[in-house]
Amino acid sequence: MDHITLNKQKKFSKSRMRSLIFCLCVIAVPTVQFGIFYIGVNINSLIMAFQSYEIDPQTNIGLYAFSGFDNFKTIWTELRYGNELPTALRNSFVLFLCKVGVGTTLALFFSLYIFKKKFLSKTFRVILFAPSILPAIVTVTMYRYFVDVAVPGMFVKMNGMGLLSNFDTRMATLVFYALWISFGTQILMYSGSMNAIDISIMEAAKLDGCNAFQEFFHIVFKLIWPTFVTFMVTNMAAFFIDQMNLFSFYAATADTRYITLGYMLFRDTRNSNVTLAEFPRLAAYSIVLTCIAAPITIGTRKLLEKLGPRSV
Amino acid sequence: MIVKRLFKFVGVWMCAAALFGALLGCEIPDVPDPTNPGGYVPEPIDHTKSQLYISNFNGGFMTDWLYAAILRFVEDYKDYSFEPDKKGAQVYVETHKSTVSDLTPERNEIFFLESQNYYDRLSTGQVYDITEWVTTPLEEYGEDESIAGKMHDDYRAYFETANGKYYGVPHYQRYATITYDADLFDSKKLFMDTDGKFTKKSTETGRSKGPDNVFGTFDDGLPATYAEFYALCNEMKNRNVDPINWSSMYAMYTGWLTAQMKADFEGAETGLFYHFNGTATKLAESISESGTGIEKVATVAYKPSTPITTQNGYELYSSAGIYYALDFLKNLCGYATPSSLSGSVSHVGAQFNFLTSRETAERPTGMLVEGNYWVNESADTFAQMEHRYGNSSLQKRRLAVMPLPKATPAVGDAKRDTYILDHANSAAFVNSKIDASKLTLARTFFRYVHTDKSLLEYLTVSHTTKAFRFDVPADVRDGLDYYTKSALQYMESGINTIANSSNAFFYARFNDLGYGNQFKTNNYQTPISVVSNMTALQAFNEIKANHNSSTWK
Repeated sequence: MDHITLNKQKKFSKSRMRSLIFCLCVIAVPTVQFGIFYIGVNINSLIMAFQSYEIDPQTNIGLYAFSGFDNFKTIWTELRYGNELPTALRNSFVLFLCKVGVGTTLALFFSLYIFKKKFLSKTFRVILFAPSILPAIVTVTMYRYFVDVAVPGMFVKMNGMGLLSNFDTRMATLVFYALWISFGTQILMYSGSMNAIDISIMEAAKLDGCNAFQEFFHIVFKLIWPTFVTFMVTNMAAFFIDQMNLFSFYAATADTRYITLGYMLFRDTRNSNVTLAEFPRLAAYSIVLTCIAAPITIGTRKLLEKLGPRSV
Repeated sequence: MIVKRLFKFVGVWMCAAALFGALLGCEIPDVPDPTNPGGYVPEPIDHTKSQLYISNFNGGFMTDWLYAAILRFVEDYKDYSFEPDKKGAQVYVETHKSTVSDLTPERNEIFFLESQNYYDRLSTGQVYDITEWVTTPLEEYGEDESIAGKMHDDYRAYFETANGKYYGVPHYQRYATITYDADLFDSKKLFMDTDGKFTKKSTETGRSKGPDNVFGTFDDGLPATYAEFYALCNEMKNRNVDPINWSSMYAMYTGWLTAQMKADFEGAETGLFYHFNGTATKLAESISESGTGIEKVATVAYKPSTPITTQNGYELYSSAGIYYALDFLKNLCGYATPSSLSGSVSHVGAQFNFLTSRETAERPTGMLVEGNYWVNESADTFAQMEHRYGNSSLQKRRLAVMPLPKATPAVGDAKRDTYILDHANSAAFVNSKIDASKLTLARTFFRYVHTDKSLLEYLTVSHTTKAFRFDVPADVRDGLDYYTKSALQYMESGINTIANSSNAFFYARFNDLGYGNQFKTNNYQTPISVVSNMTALQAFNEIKANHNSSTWK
């Protein structure tokens, strides 16, 4: 008996060992990747925010040297005297409000429409999700031709001036695109969440005389609350990084009047002209923005969790 | 059991993925096919020969020039031993179109790239010290000059480090051009005579002096000043010609032109924006205007000569060149085709419209704003037009680079210089990790592509110039197509400068101080956006006000 138990234990332990090795193999790559590209990069960024890059003219070797708060002083100068940063901050706020106020509201109603399996609901689902599958450059090009060629062609009053070409309609056209392109994911998630709702609850509500609005606000919305919170929190966290697809539209030449903070940082980092000496300032930006975004995002999550169905 | 199956399943997929990756990695790079000019076929590695790996930015300047050079090199050195027990060479080329891809993989030994910050590459130890390669005269090819000796002065000042070393050399020159259709100009007699009337063909005598203010040169009959340019555009409209077009989708083309106009106005002082060392004489205290549109007359009250250092670099944003360049672009918009302002025409679309307008449009288009390399991007259009209409290839059409007009009229008969602003930041350099056994081959090839013969070949293949001085024999010059010949004449007659410097202050603020940001106003980034929303004077005043000792970082 003892012999059999020992064998079993041995076999079990061998099997467990294999499982362990397998699991380690599976998580090894993502762990290393996370270590290098998240932890490593962020630590590097944190340090870089307090450094400047200088080249020794004799050896031609470049070195990052400690420069105190110089990069933060530069940001302060840009905020105080520059025009770009305040404009970007304002536009980011406008985009955030539109995404939360208009985008999320419409996404919820479209999701409900699909959930209720109304006329052509599946077609709408495909149409609305399609832009999320296509490469950004394809949708941007199509959209650009549509608003700058097709739309002026349809309306003679526009005198051939497209919605993007017209400086007064450009911002609204860009915001509309940002909302439209973010629609697909939201609808997929919201309608998926709605599909998990037990149909008997809906039927019971109907028997109790619930109208469509009551059904949505008192049942559906409360049951998909966690999904809603997730989107709200990610929207809040993306406040400083949402570039409104401007790089796809204009590369590095978007006009200041329309830029967001996310675009400004992406442009300055991605721009082929940027030198190694300019990265410390961008790293300092990331520190400043994280200091602002992190508490707001965490606060939003806590607030929404507090306001959620459990407390109602 | 499930874990075991899962393990097998994942294992098989991982092996398949690894095999697929390995197969992709084993892709044989392209080498030129001598039996098929312009076509390239994979050639397996021959271990009896030495191999050289090159990375080339495959933008508007293409890679054909490199393939042509490789064909000659491989033939010329087929019996030469670069490594023990090996004879001859194979040269493999990888082409990319992004800064990150350009520098990877590290197998590549020589790089021909654009949009490179040389001092970034240098300070991170990515580039090999090629001082000896660059400063030794190319005597083995029968030349007295070294590669460094052939460089234009501003390029040399940039590439030679503070301790007198070279880790790279410039590659090609990229600058803004206005291309005009000389066939159309001739048929409509749009060259100016000495009385200021548009009555001449390019072949006729009695044409005006042109922008260089000298009779008997290649620019005779072309507009010498902005005012003459507007007069030309008006005359084109009268003669049923659309004056000019450009890509409305990408603002950079008009941005390049504006920077070029500014640089030409400022002359040698344009370098102050990049090295902050000298005296500025073209800074405006104030500008006043009388009249409107093209009839407008600007009166500039210049500041006294101002020494410029990194401490007061902001003073440069009061350069009258900013005003004149923006005003020129603003007026140009009045002569542009509607598609140039629509926002939906790409650069290739604008080229297509310009080239085909004489066959398909009600009104042909006379001029195009583009980079000097644009004819390469339109190779397909030329071929299709030649097939369909005949006499339409680049070799048969008479397209030409127009020397740019000046903001102010000439005073006296002195020759007027043209400053050509190269903003490509192109560079050719060698990987610092190159294996010692490859150095002889790399050195030989590097020097080979910088011989006069290779520079000439570059000119004929890419229709553009590398950033070096070289002699062009008369017979070769006569054999050039009209466009290439005009580009060569333009380059030879001008003073070649770059939108860059080795100044540490500039390097640390490269993105902020670069030529692309010199016209930036509170709301608008690009010159075309600026002039679409405000007058040149409003923009100038705003730019000037935005740069002062408080904002100067």
